[in-house]
Amino acid sequence: MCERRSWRAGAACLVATFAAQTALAQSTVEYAKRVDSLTAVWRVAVAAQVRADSERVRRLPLDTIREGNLIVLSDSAYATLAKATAAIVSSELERSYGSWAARMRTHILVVRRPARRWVVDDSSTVESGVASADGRVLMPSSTFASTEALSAAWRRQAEVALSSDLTPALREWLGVATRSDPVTARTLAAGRVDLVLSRSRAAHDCALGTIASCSRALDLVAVNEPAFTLFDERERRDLIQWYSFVLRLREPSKYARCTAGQQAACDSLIRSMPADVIPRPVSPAVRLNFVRYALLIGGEGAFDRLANTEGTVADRVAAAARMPIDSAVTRWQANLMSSASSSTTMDAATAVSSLFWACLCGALALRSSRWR
Amino acid sequence: MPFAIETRDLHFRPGGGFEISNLSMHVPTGSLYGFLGPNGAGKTTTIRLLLGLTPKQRGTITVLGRSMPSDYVEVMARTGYVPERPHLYPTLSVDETLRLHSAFHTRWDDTWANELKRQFGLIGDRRVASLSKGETGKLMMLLALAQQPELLVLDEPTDGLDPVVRRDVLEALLAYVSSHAATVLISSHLVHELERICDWIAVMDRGRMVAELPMQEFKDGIKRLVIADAARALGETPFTVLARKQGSGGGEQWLVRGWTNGMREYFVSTGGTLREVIDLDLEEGFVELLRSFRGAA
Amino acid sequence: MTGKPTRWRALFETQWKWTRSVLLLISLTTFAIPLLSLRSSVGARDESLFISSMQTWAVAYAFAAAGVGLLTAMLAWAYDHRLRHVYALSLPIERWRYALMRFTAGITLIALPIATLLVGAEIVAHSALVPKTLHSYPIALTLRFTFAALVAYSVFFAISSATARTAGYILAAIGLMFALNIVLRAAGSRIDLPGYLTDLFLAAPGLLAVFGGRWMLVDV
Repeated sequence: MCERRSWRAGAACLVATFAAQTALAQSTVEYAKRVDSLTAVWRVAVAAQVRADSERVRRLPLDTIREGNLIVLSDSAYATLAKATAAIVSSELERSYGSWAARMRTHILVVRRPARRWVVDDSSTVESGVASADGRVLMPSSTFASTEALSAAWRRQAEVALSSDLTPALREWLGVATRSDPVTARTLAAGRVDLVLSRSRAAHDCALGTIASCSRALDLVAVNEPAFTLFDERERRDLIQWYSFVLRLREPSKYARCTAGQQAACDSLIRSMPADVIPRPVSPAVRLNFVRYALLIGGEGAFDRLANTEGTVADRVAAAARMPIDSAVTRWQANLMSSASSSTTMDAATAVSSLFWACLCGALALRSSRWR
Repeated sequence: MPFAIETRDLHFRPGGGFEISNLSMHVPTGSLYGFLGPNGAGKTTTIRLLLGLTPKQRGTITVLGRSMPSDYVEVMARTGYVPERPHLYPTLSVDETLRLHSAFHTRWDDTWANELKRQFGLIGDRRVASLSKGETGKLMMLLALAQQPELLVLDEPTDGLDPVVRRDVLEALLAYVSSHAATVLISSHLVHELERICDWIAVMDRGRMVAELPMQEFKDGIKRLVIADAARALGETPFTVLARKQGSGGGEQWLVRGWTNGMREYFVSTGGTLREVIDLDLEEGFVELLRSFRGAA
Repeated sequence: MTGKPTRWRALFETQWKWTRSVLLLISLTTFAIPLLSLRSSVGARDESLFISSMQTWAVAYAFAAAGVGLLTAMLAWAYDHRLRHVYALSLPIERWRYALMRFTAGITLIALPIATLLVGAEIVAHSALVPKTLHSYPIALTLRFTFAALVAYSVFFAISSATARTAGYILAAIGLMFALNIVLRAAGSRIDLPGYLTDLFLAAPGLLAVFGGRWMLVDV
């Protein structure tokens, strides 16, 4: 009797487990289907949004404003603002980019009322961006309806647009959009900070004055085994540590030996890393700083020469600067390292305010009722 | 300038039920003015008010012809002050204290300061904190005297000092006064001490001036009369009766103020026999005066 | 001692006597901080870590400046407080002038730890252990320390010279602010009075702004 009861209980458990698993499996399938259907719905919604957006662009009574190298499609309500802003930005772009700025005619700027879903009846902001061929608005941004704010937005959008017209190699080397604002002492000082704080031997040697290292750090010359040429032993260990999530799985024994201190194992791991995983020795900000300096010393037409010269990046930059690349690098390095930032430790405003408070407290001490 | 210190309707209420009200004080120039009163009478507070250490609330204070506290700089340059409690920086040595004090007093006499230092037996490199009570008292008196003041304000300068030290301090004080014709205001509990050196006496109690008169007049004027068969009702008397009490042997003892010998005639006309006139010393007179003042209050 | 000193000199001598032990200790500290910061940073792998290591010592400078100001100010008044200011008030000098003399004597005294800081900072600045690509700012650091010590000294000097009643008012005001903040929070308001006042003090040009910011002896 007891045996039958236990047999029944066990069978019941088995049946229940099987049923639960079946149900669970069915739920998992069902959930997967639900996810798929939701994804499909989401895709449909996005497409609908894009169409609606384009429709808005086509439907709005947009005025066409031509000012210098800029073509702007503007909502009638903002036509005056757009014209004034276009005049400012157009002249700035011509100053910075020279004849290359004419390419802005292929990147039409748009100014319109903000989409209702973002802002409701707000006349203090406008939406601006660059129109794409299929009627979409690229790089949309919401800014205040003032020439200062809109100029800043268009400047950024124009920098990206004009940089996108550069050759892929140059674009890839730069890593960031070019800048249209003028190069100042502060620009060089900031570049110096970026260079000094770069974590590579090449950058370090460049900062100390080795011009050949600067060329290598700026990726102007090809190097064999960049991980060994541009980085020292400690920096390579950092690379291994950073890439450990792959190396640990791919080469576990070598990784273990490297971690234990075997240099040969570490070197082998480094060599096994794909070339595109090894970072550049300096940040894009440093390379951009160098290019901006080259454009500055190159004078008129520098950007055109940078964009249109055939050859390597070094050739382009040398053409922009109108001097051999080594000379350009040497001058840049010298100017960079001599542009010491003023100390952030002490400034005149802090000194004046401190003196003020000291005098005030001193006066209060003299005015204490005990002493009156 | 008849009065070195003069106050009119001086009023100060620090709280806690104590009050100095309508205080009028006149310290004649060149006098040795004793300031007497029980504990808590307001002597130290009054002195602090006179010297501008505590701001007054109402009334006028004139010290050495100048209004206080507005002219305190000039007044304190001409005034030597010895407070009730030591006020010297404990970490300084005797010499350093003298140096500090001399810097602030243009009339400082270095030679005399050194003479007093020798006389008082003070050692220059000893810290103030290590001095005994007597030595501290001597040092404070030295500082007050060496600046050659016109006015000395001494708040219980010999309190707690042994007789030898008290003598030294008072001798130096009297020597200074006699040679410089300075005015001295001295408050003390030691009635006999004041009796010996002061020519004016003021008695204060509970924030009020009870009496202010020449010492001799005070001593002469307060007598104890032994009277037999005194009339019950007094009527008008040429003297002030401070107190009456039954004496032993059936007579009465009267405490009177303002007595002169010529007033014996009063008893002839009113009845009663004047048996005896007893002189009171300053302490007895002070005690009786306070009793009568408090009784009247 | 020969000759009668000036009043200011006499007060200065007393303040020096009261403060010298503490001042010498602080001066040794301000001399040592730059050297210790360099010592701790020398092993850094690269410039950014070197700077980060130097930056960890920033708080030591700020504390030292506050400490110098606090101790010098409180010691300037400590014995007068103990003696209830009787001696000071009985001197034949305008009271504001006396307070001013004490104030300026204290300022003169804090020149010592400032000077030792400058010496220590200059030793670091000329040390071969500082990476050549970095710059040293011993003067800027010393200036910041000077202003911070001056502000701290002035604040605590004013507090120390005030009467107990004034101190009570200040404490009452602080208490009232916290009480008001509690009431506001209970009423659902988002106003954060202590936070607002803290920002007011710490952000430029607030009273304590000089203590914030960067205390960098070595920087890019």
